[in-house]
Amino acid sequence: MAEEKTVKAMKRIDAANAPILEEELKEVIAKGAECLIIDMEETVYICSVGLRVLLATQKTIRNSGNEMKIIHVLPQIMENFEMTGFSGIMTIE
Amino acid sequence: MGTERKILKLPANMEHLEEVLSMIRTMLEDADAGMKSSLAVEVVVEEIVTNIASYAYPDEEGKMEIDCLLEPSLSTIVIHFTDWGIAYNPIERENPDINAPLEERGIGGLGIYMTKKMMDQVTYERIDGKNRLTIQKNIME
Repeated sequence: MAEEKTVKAMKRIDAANAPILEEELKEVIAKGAECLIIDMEETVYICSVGLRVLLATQKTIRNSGNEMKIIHVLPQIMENFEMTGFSGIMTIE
Repeated sequence: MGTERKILKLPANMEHLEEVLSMIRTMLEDADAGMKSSLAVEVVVEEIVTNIASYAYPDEEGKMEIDCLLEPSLSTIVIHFTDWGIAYNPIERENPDINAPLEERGIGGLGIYMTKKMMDQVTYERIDGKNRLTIQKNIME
């Protein structure tokens, strides 16, 4: 079974917080997670900088042949994922 | 309650984002705006302020003005964003191809795309050396 690592996203992924999340994700990737899970249970807000972080992370993960999953997405965040087409290129559960 | 109007004129940098957001949040709360539209307005205000702070003044410190009008009888919020920086019409920016596969997805253009999708109206004017971007949104959703 692939090694899973979970990162819990913050409540607000705004322009100030997005780089913090990016760093966290990079660290976990650097440690060699085969399956990166982003838990968005607490996330009620995401801006485009935050979306770009998720997109860049998804690209990095895919290029290294690993997997990424986003879980526990609230409806208002899901709407953003659908609007931007992210729901078609990411695994969202 | 009649029309509410609040204007902020601030240095165009990210340190003042929270001040802008907090003013708009208070106005929306006072008008009993819906959660969905309040979040949408917040996301969009953050986008626009971030853009002004990042690109309007490449070589100097500049100002930005946020003029917010809330018309409860029309359930509408109108926000004008003005800067005196380089001419830039974000609306002209090409939409990202949201159906492109991951390998071909660029990471640019998302912010203005979301702005256009989430607001009821977005307009740009260049007047007297100013960029003026106006957004409008029904706040009862």
